[in-house]
Amino acid sequence: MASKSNQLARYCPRLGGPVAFSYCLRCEQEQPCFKVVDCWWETFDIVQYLRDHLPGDQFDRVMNAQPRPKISSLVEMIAQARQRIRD
Amino acid sequence: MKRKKVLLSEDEMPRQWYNVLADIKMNPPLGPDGKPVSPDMLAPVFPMNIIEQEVSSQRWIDIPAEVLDILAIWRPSPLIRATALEKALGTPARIYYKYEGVSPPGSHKPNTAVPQAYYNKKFGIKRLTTETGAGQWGSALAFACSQFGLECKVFMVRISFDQKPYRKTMMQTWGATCIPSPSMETKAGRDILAKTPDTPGSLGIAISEAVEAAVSDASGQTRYSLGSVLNHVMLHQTIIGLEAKKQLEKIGEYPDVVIGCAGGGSNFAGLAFPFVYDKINGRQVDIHPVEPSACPTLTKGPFAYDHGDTAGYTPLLAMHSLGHTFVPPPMHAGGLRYHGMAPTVSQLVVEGLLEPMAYGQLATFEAGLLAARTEGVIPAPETNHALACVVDLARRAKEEGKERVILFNWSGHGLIDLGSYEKYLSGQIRDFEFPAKDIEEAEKILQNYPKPQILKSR
Repeated sequence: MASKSNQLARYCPRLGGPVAFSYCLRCEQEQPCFKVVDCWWETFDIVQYLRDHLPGDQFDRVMNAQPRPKISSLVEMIAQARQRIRD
Repeated sequence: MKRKKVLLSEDEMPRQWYNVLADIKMNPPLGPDGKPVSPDMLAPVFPMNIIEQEVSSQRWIDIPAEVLDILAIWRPSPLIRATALEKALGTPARIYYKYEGVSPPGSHKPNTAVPQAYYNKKFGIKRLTTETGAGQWGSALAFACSQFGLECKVFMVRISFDQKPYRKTMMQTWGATCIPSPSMETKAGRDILAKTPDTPGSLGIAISEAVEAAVSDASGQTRYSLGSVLNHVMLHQTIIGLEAKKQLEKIGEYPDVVIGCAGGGSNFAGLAFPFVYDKINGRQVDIHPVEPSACPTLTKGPFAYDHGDTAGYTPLLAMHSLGHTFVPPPMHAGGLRYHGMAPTVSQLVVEGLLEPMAYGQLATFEAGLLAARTEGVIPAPETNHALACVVDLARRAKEEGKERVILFNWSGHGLIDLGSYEKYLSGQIRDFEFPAKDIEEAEKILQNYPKPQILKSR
């Protein structure tokens, strides 16, 4: 999948630089970026593409990505960091 | 000789920031337990003096003298009339821009990096951590920390770290440590590298590392710093718009239109919020945050779906959620639409005080090149979004024969970010329609996946 998709490129609004589609497909710990659909929907049927190429649970995860305020996600990251340190 | 720039003296720098939270109502963000986030929950990553600003509803907040002393290295920034751009467009519009590329790192970002470093220093913090994508924010914080004698550690997303070596060098020159993320410095990074050693990294991973690096310092002398989205960041950036108002007043002008590019919202908010204050108080001004049309968060809903059934995702029907009669499921309606955008900017859109605009990649680069070849400055890629809107509205003013006054934020120069220009100039950046004959492999991906149907009610 990545070898075909790395020839598509666009400006990444999160990173502030150009990235290949293959990056969008794997940047979140080998899973797609939560914005992959928002960024590529105008180019081709990204949803069908993901449905065809992702395992069902990964596909569901992308489609069900829940947005949260930055402050809320920071609080969660603090808790996760503390848990990692304890472990 | 025609007047090109409007300058303020250091004595004329604003002494207070404008806090838009005094004039709008916001729902508090909720924590994992569903209850509003309390200040103490943020204390592991932010000093209390910054948390107080984050939740403050005081309209005007004093800028400390120590902060003004550092900002004076490049502030007040010039207000420049884009006479050559006006001429090239043949427009009767008078176009002005605040040029934030004069700061040491070359963008608006140090407007908040400096006060954040100051407040941390005052709180007794010795070192700051942060994440950075392209490196604008990381270099701004590195600069600010160097001014206040703080240590600075920046986790830079690996793919950008490899693409933009000069950003790393800037950070190191200012004494910061710039580490490609994921790294071996944190447990989060080590865990990911153990699974996928060749990972290009992501902003999410870099934030996790930066937060862990702050939280894990048992001495309590490390905190985390964020360069966008949050209320205190928007607050610090308002110095841009407050200066612009003074500068325009000097020449007897007031904008009909205010424009800024809106990614996380901070450079837009910096210029626009002081004019939002005027608008709330009855002044007529159109205010446009501008975003990429491919990733709409403000101008349209995101790609939303009519699930059709309750069990799964079939049939899956694509649509945008704003401007249509269809009401998308709640999970897609309010939140995703504004994901990544400052809550205050989102709220002002909801209240009808801002009118978002969106432009495609090609329009933005065309506008950026026109600006570079007329005004001389190579814009940062994100500034090109604002420029696309400026060019559009200036052409409309020509068609309508209206002498409109357009003000926009030139948020930074693009000298360290030429990779995007290189791809544009070599034809590698395209607007939605990829010529299949040029990209044989891409064609294989596209051929079975036509554009989704977009539902419109009228």
